Amino acid sequence: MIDILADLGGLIVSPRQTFKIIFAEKRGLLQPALILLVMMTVLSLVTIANVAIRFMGFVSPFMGGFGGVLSAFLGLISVAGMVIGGAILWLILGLLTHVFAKVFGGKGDVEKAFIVLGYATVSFFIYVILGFIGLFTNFLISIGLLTVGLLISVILWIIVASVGVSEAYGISLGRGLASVILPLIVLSLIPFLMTLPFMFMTWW
Amino acid sequence: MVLRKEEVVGIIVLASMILGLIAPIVAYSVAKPAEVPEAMFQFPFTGKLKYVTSETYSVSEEFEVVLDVSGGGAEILESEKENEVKVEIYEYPAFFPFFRKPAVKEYNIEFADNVLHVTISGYVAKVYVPPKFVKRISSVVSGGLSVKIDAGNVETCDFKVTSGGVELDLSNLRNSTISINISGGGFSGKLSYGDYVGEAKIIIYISGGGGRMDIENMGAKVKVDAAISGGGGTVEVNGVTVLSLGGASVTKTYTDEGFDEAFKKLLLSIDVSGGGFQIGIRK
Repeated sequence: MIDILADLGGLIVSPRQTFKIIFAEKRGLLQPALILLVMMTVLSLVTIANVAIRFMGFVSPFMGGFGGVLSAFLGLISVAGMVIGGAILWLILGLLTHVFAKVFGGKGDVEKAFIVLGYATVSFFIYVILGFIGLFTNFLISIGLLTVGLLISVILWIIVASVGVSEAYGISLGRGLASVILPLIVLSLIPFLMTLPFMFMTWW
Repeated sequence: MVLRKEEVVGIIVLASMILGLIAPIVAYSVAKPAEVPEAMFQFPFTGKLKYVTSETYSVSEEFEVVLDVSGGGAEILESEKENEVKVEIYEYPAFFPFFRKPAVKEYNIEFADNVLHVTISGYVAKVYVPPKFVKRISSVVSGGLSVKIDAGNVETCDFKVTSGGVELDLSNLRNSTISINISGGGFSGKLSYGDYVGEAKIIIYISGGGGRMDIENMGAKVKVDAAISGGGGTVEVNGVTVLSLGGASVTKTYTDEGFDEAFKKLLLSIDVSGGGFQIGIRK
C-alpha cells in the first residue's frame, strides 16, 4: 500500500526519480491504464456532480416521474462517454507523442509513451479536489473552481509527462516538453482545419 | 511512523480519488434545486453601469408605472424620499463588444396623467418609486426586470416577458392581482402578503421557459389551478407537495378546505406550455 502511495505522490513530487523506478522495474501497461481509467472516472464524476446534477435537480420536477431515472441515465452515459473519450485521447496522444519523441532523437518503443501519459493523469487530482470543494459553493463559483483546477492540472500533466518522456526516450527535458505539447497542438488544430473550407465558403 | 513527502502527496491523490467517487452522492445532498435558474435569471445589470441621465418627479397621488424594455433591463426600487419618483438611465457594458453589431439604443421617460412611462432599448433604467403611491405596475420586457418594493398599495402587476427574465421581491401584498406572462424566459419570485380581506390572485402563464416562486401568505386559504401542456412542475404548501404535474397535457386543482367561506383567499392559476415551474407556498 505504501508503495502505491509513494508512486502516486512521487509522480507529482519527484517525477524523474519515480519514472526511473517505473522503467527500471519494467512495469507494463496495466497499472498506468488503471490509473488513467480511475482518474478519468473520478474526473467525470466530479464534473457531472458540479454541472449536471445541479441542473438535473432543477429540471427533474418538470419531467414528472421520469426525472430521477433520466438524470441517472444521462449521468451514467456522460461518465461512460468521458471515460471512453479519455481512453481514446490517451491512445491518440500516446501515438503522436511517440512519433514526436522519435523525431527528436528519442529511443524507445510506443509502450513507453502510453505508460508515461497514463501515469501522468495523476496530475488531475487537483481538478478533482477543487471540483469537490465546488460542490459546497454556488453554481458560478464551482464552474470557476473547475476551470482553475483544469488549468493547473493540465499544466502539471504537461510537466510530469514531459519529464516522463524525457526519461523514457533518453532525450532532453526541452525535447520531452515538445514531444508532449506538439501532439496537443496538432489535435487542437484538427477541428480548426476541418472548419476551414466552410469559412472559405462563407467568405465567398 | 514518519511519512515521506511522496507518501503524503500519495495519500492526497488517493483521497481525491475517493472524493471523486462520492461526489455525485454529495452533490445530490448539498445542491439547491433552484440555484441554476436563479443564477441564470437574476437581474443581470448590477455592476459597472455607466450613468447617462436621470429625471425626478414629485408625486402626491397614486400613479401607474408602465415599463417598456427591449434589449436592456429595468429595476424598480423604493425611493428614499416618500414623494419623489426618480428614473435613472444607465449604459451597461457589453460582454463581447467585438462580436456585437451596433444596437438600437434609445430611452424615453414620461410622467403624465398619473402614469410614469419608461421606454428603453439597450439601456438600464433604475426606477425609484414611493411605495405608498404605486397602484399599478405593467411591463413588457425583452431583457431583464427586477422589482423590489413594498407592494401594500399595489392593486395589479402585469409582467409580460418575451426572451428574458423577471426577478420579483414584493412584500406586504394585499388582495392584488399579479400576472406573469413568460414567453421564452424565466422568473424568480418572492411574494410576501400582509393582512387583507378578499381574494389575492397570481396568474402565471409560461410558454417556453420556467422559474420558481416562493409565496408567504399567513392565514390564507389557497386554491391552485394548474394546467400543463408539455413540461412539468410542482406546487408545495407548507413544505408538502400538493400538486405534481408532468407530461403532455395535464390539468390539476388543489383547494384548501374552507376556501369558499374564507375571508382571506389566495388563488393561484398556472398554465404552462413547454416549460416548468416550482411554487412554494407558506401559509
